[in-house]
Amino acid sequence: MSESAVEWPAVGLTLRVDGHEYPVPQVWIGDSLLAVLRERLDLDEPRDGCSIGECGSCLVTLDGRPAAACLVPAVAAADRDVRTPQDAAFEAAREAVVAANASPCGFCAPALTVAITDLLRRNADPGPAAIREALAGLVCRCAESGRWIEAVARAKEAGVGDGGTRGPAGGDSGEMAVLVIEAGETES
Amino acid sequence: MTEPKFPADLRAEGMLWMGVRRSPHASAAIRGLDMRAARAVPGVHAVLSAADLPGYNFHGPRSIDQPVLAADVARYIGEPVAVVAAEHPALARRAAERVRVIWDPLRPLHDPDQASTAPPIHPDGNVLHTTTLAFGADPATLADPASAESAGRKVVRGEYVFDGLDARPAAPAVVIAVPNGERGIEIYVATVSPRGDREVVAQCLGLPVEKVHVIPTRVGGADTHREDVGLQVQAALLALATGRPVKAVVPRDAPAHPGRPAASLRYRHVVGEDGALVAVEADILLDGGAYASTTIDILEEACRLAVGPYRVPNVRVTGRVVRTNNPPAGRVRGGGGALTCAAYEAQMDAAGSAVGLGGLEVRLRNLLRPGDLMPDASDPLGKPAAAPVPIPDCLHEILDTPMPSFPPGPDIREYPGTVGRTGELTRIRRGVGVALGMADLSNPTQLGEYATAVVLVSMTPDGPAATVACSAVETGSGLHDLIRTTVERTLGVPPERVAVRAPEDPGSLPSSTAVTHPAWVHGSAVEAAAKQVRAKLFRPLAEQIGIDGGLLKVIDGYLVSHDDVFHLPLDDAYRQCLPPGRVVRGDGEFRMLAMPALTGTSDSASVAVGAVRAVVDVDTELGLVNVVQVAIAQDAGRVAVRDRAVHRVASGAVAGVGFVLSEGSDLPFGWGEPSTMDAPEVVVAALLETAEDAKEEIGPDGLPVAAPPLGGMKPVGDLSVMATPAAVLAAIRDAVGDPQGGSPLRLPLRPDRAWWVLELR
Amino acid sequence: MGPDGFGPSGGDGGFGGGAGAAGPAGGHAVPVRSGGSPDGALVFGGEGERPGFELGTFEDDGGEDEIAERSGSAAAGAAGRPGANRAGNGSAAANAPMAMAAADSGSDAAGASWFAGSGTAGVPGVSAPGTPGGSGTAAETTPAPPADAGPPGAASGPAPNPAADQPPIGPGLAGSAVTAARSLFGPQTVVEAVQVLAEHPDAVIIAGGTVAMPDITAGRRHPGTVLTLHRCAELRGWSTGSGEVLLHAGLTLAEMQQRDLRQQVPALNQAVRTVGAPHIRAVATLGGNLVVGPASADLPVVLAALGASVLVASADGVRTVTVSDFYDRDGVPQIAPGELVVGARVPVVEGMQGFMKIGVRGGISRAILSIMLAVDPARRSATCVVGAMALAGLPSGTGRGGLPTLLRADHADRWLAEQVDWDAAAIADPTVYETFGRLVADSLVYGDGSGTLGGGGDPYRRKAVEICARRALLRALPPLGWLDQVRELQKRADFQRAKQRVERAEVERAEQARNQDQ
Repeated sequence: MSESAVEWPAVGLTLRVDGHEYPVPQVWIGDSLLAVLRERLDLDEPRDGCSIGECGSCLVTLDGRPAAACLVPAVAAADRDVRTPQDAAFEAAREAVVAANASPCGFCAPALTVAITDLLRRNADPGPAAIREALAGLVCRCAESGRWIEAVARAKEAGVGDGGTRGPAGGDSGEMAVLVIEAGETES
Repeated sequence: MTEPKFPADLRAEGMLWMGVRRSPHASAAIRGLDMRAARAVPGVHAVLSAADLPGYNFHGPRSIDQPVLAADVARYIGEPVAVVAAEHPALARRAAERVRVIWDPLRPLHDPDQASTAPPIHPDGNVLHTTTLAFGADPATLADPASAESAGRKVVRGEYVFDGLDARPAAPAVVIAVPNGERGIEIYVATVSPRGDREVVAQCLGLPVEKVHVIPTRVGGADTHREDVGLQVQAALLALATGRPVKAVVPRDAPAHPGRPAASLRYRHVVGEDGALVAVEADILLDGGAYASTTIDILEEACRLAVGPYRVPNVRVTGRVVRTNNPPAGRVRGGGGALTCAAYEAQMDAAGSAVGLGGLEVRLRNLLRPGDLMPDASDPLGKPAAAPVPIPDCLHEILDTPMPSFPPGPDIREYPGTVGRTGELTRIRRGVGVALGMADLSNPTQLGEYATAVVLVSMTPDGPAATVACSAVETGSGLHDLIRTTVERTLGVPPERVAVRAPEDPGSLPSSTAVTHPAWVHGSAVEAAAKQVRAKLFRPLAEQIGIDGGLLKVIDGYLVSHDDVFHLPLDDAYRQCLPPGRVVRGDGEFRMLAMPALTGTSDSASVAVGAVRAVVDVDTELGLVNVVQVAIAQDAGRVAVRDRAVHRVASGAVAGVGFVLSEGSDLPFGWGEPSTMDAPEVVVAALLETAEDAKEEIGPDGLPVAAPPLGGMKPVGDLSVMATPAAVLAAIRDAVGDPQGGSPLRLPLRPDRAWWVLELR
Repeated sequence: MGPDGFGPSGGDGGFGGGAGAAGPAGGHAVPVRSGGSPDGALVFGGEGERPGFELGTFEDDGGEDEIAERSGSAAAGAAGRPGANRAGNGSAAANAPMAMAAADSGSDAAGASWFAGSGTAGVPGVSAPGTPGGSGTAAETTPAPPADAGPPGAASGPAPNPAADQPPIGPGLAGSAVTAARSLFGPQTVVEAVQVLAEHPDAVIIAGGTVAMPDITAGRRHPGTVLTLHRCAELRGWSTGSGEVLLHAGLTLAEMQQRDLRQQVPALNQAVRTVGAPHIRAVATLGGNLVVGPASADLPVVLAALGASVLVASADGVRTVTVSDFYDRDGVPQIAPGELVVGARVPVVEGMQGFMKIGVRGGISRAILSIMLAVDPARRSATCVVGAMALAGLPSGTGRGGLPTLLRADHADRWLAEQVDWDAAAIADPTVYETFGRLVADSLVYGDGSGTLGGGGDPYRRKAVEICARRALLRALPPLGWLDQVRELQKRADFQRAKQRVERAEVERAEQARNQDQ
């Protein structure tokens, strides 16, 4: 098959990012939202860590819900409310991340601010297990999770998530208690 | 203030994207290349192969054996063969696929055990390096069953197999090459070794060095071990061919960062009835992958650290690193010490169980003390350990750390298996394990490292302020904080008034090759420069009392003389000596030629020791492990920036948990890396400051100071990575009541390799 | 005990309260209409009947567009029930929420010089399909911007890159081959979606993006045509009927954690919590999970054990196939070109449901194995399914090993059904648990038993399946008197924890006091 048979269809679309409208011409239909945010709109804070949805570095919110921008086709983000970590909504969490020194190299810091904000919006008072579960999708190689837990605590003190509680529908279903003792066994 | 940018965040006008045609074969001869179809793709600006490289096609940090682009043979899956520059990353990838390669697949060599006897896969042969470190009698004779039995000695054997581990920083490998007319080519890359990179790139491109400018960008991932320099050459080649900037991003499914080599270690410990170690024999085999990279250093390090922090009179360590058709390996955090620590600590537990004393007791009876011999490449008879070796202090600290409560729960997320919901309270056994670790600071095979620094001090309305110009790259490990602290301790300028920036003349030679010990090398250069400033600045005061300016130092807000006779508040000193408008400049450089020269006493080996206690919960039926807590105490020499040091140690423990339980280069990116749900509570119980107050030795030229910066700082990042896996393994052995712990033991210990699940034996 | 427990599904006494119980929950606007009769909410028709395309009823979101009109007539011939009731609702492309405009290459000043600007390069996408060359109206909704594609609000963002003046990706892309006239479709109804698929069987279908986007970005797939489903309200959410729930293909994993759905099918939430991070669950869909299949997704295991069926739509109508039959031996879903997975029908039963998974690391992870046990007291049956076995037998654990990926343990299930005292919902003989585990593990051996799942070459999975099946059964159908034992043990564990917390606090206080003294 010659390359001429492979087409590169492109469309123009309008993205609503951090409250601004950006008309973007000639977007290849295979481009991810991440590629457009970074390469066309020059917004660097959704980081490009892996492009395959594994590392969480490109975290943004889409209509208020968290999403890995590398997994969202740009064409599907048109006219939806995209918030990058640069949005003012994440400012308080960002300060908490910095104060806790939760991201030594700074690469994961933007994603962490979004993840923390999202967690606190869903769950106003997460325990350590809930924090660990909520942040487990961020691959970081230089931070220690104790600092992340501290960052969440600081963000909570700063009022992140207040008034925005979406309830458990957002995904965190709280404590995981199950009956976990086998019959006839006793603890030694 | 704008933050510095990661290389992926840099863009240039008219920028093109690099695509790479990679080898799908582990071993194949290249019989022909047809690039016409790729060139014909609209939007493609250049398609280049090894034949288009004007300079030398090979590079390598040790052995110059790795091609920038494979020319006649591809030696591992994913090896670059041709590169494409196109308007869009996806277009570049598609076009690269259109490069037609006529492959002649060869039989690949994957098993390092067979490398020595297999036909060579590289003109340089399959054995990259061998080494033997020995002293005392040959352990083989002492381990001889007949003589061992008659002397009441026990022989403990063990085999330990480690999978390879990709170093995968959170930030991907990215290079931007920008052609810049007369100036030559600019390369933006997250490197900590711009000077070394520059020379390699120039040689490969056939350009004079001054036409190549390697500009370090922000580094993600707090590690100094990065992708190989070939990526820079590839991007620069395309940029020069097209006259446009080229961005190269290595996708996550391609090998980008050389990682820890796969290894197998065979041990034989001979231990007396009283628990004293009589002899240790170790044989270490590393899989270096297709090219040498830095695996030779890892082998040497592993061999030097093969015995651990123990006194053994008879030692024989043999090591071999071989070439295979696996991706090239290299150094990751912990280095060779991470391999041996897990092995020799398992041996110690087995020895303790063999003589009925227990692992901890056997360790205590054999602790390394100053003056005890250690294996060393520079001295066939071994080298005595230098003081201090504060292992008992470290042990006390970790054993005093409060234990986490048991049983875990009731939230099932705290059980082994977590959200997988497999946990059963009655099947959880808790185990506690202790491991001792050792990093050596005297690396006789150390590559030369070099750094320069300039310190400028002037008066501001707030007080004296300093600017440091040096090429130290902040990777997140706290290097810039360390530099500020160094200036503070030398000059009394508070850290908030110390600015750290790149060298003022961007055209000047970037002046660093500090890769393995950046804190040491840069810190020393900055310290030398700051001391020169101090001597110049306060010379008038020194002359008043008739001493050299170099004999004044800053202590607790005072300027004091070496004999403590002169004592002046620092504020007064600055008022007298630093009028507004005056700028005092100090130049410093530091050259690390051979490590023994730095440790002060070249006839002894300086070590950093530490102890780790791990607490684990094990689902004994399913082989699942949850590391609950890791407590660490280590000798840090001197702690400059405590918060950063603590963080570095703690993150090393998390990396160690990944090493031992899940990570491996067989898994795609993101599958095995420890997540927050795998990370234990980390308690940094102590960072011991063992360094004595450094003697203020300032040469009249302000040049090399023969001591680590700040009078004895030791690198803190590696020890927790090395010793945490060993402690976790010991804790698992404790939990399942199996002190031998399965042999051969294969790591990472994923559930389906859990030796204690009986059916797996 | 939390809602995640093996509590009976439907904490309010089980399902049967009608659809009224299934209102939209929480803040997520899942367009489920809770009103109406249960039957009315499910327009699927019975077996053998040619069903229409309606997947339950939804509130009209006013987002109809002319594609419905156009395709309505086209579909009318093919499908028994054309979407005629949806067509003709008026509305216009201008109101379409998605502002996809034709690319106006002519006025795009940023075009690189080599870009063969073609007047027909426009892509009408959903706005005006079938209108070659891009419709003028669509173009007007998004006037071609000036060359500067940089953010208007750049001042508030980071320092603009000097190079931002020229979009780096930019228009150059389209030059390689003049863009297709019809390459992007964002249908709002299933009728439209299958119509598009009928015409473009090779279209890349994107719902959440978690499946297709990594392949596209890595260059493994090159989309000539993209069909995005995010505007298709019919595919969102879930609805209830008599004795079953209908999960629509666009139901996200995060939505499966909603309380209302959790109460009816608790296993969904159990499984979802082992899959991906919150930001993956928020976009990943049921449809994607079903299409990926049990080789790497966890939901097929759950659905197979629950006896669910997959609904697959095409221009010919909707076919229903059980989850077990939906996959071949290698776990590859049986979907023909032009077909679209539109949902799954899940029977609601009162019994216990338990999903378990062992991953390559703790927490959220790829599965080494997963297992699901569902008990149906009404039918007096239990079903155990084992999944995610594709990782088995592979030294690398990274791909397909040619092994079955979804295995039923029918023999063990039948044997178990006879051992249970269904009236007491308990098992009298304590050896049943061990035996059941062994039977489940036995049923996984096939072939000659060597080097295959559960056989000599894979002892871990055999052992682990045995243990997990035993534990799952213990939780689902406990022995008589077991609950009292559990409570006693848990009380003791609680006491132990509390005691240790106190002790630890004391040690820490003493430590602090000592430090202060020094």
